[in-house]
Amino acid sequence: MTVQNKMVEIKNLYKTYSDGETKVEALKDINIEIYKGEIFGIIGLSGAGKSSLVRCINLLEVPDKGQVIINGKDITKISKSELRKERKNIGMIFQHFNLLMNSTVYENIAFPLKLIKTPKDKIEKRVGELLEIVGLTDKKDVYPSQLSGGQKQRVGIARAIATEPDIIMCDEATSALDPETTKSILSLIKEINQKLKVTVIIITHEMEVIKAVCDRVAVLDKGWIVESGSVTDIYVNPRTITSRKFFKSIDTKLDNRVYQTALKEPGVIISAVFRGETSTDPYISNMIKNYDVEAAILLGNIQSMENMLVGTLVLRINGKKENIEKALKYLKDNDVIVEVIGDD
Amino acid sequence: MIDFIRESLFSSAYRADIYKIISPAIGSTVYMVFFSSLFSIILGSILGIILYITQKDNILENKPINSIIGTVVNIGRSIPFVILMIAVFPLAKFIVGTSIGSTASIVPLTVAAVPFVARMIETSLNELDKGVIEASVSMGASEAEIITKVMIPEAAPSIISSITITIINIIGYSAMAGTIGGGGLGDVCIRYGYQRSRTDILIYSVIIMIVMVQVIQCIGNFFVRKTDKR
Repeated sequence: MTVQNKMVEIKNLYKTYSDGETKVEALKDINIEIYKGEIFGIIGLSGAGKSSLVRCINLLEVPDKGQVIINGKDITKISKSELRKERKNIGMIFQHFNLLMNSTVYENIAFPLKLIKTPKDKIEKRVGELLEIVGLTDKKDVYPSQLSGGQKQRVGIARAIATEPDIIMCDEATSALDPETTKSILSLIKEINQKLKVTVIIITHEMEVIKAVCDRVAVLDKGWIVESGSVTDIYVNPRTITSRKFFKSIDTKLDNRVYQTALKEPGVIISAVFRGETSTDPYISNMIKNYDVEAAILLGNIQSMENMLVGTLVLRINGKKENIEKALKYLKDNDVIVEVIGDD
Repeated sequence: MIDFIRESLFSSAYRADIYKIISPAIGSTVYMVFFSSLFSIILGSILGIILYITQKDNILENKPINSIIGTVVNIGRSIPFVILMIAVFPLAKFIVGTSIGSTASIVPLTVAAVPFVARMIETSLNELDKGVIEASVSMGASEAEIITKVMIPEAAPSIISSITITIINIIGYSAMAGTIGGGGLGDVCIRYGYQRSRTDILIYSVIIMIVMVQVIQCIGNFFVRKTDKR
């Protein structure tokens, strides 16, 4: 990637909170590059530092050390009024929506436009368009208290994109919503990302969200970025325990009784993860035919990721020891990720 | 007793007299209450907003300013009104040129109400959802824009009910000011109702003050309902 393609670049960023005597290091040596037009996810458990990190990007929190470079400009070094201007280029969507409760839907969406002194007739036109994008045209003059959670978040999204920013940041934007509404909000975010070419940064603790819309992801744990890369890569081959925890949570877990029973039987228990094209090829039947082993399926599923399919199988493979070894090697040679999870 | 009240309140001989005594007093009370409310709400709101925005983690966090204003407000609120009134009358002479009458009373009433309003406004603003303020900071709003376009409109219902309470308190205090030469209904109550045993005038004055309080409360409630969309 060339320099021009970087929308956000965070370099060696540190953030410490001090509460009297005790100091909490919220973020430690954070380095992130977010490219133009992508959806970048930051996942972590609560307390991992996600919210601090996202707030360092528009300097709602001032980092102790490090650079935040947006569109080639280091915003930690600019004046207060320049920073305000820069913030207008970064829309933000919140978990609890943070709407003006005493203002109508129209006034809420018009608010950022009024801040940049848009003429009234233009505001009216723009809000009309935005209401159409988020599908709330009929709620124009309603107050937020009369809206459902999903509708409130749609207002939040309309407000965030009103000034046509280059970046929108979603801070746990779907965490207060039910699964159905989460889906519809995520597809709206995706749609906006594609139509408006806006870079999206998503903070979440839910793997589902990352899986549904993100291109790349960074895993945050106790203030460190423990892993980052494309969502599929980390999904199929998580290298750290934290990443594994997240990705495991969406696999249908192997039922313990099935596992215990399988352990008593001969053979080894393996998990095999297939990516992309391999997920539809008949490797298992080839393996059985070519290496004289038998395979019992204990669990199987296929996940549809953002840009590829990922299949997971848990198998009990039985046969001669050297045959089993050859069979596993065969799978590995064909780009299947194999892990032995039980051996008798 | 009832006969006495009926006699005093409704006998025609007294009526003209009562009207002559009470009606200018109503005017003075309204005058005192109006101006001291106006001044104290303006000054108190400014202080209340400063107290709020200089709090820890707020948009213009400033510990020294916050604690100085906080201390001054606390001192102001702890001085009993009667004492404050006597202490402030010389100041009234300096500001409005007289230390007697309803114009002079506006000064101590304002001085007493400002710290009260400041705390009430601060409390109203404390109820604000911090998230909304954070959202407006993230949208690049300036401090002035946040105060005028977010904080005040969002806290409007609570601010209006604080103002209502303040005005009602000032009505009560104005009667006290009246007793030491401040004019108005309090003055009439003392001079006629108490010193000349005119229970009728006393009762009428009290009824008028009850009506005033009711009217203010109703107007206040009306605007609270009108502005509250939560």
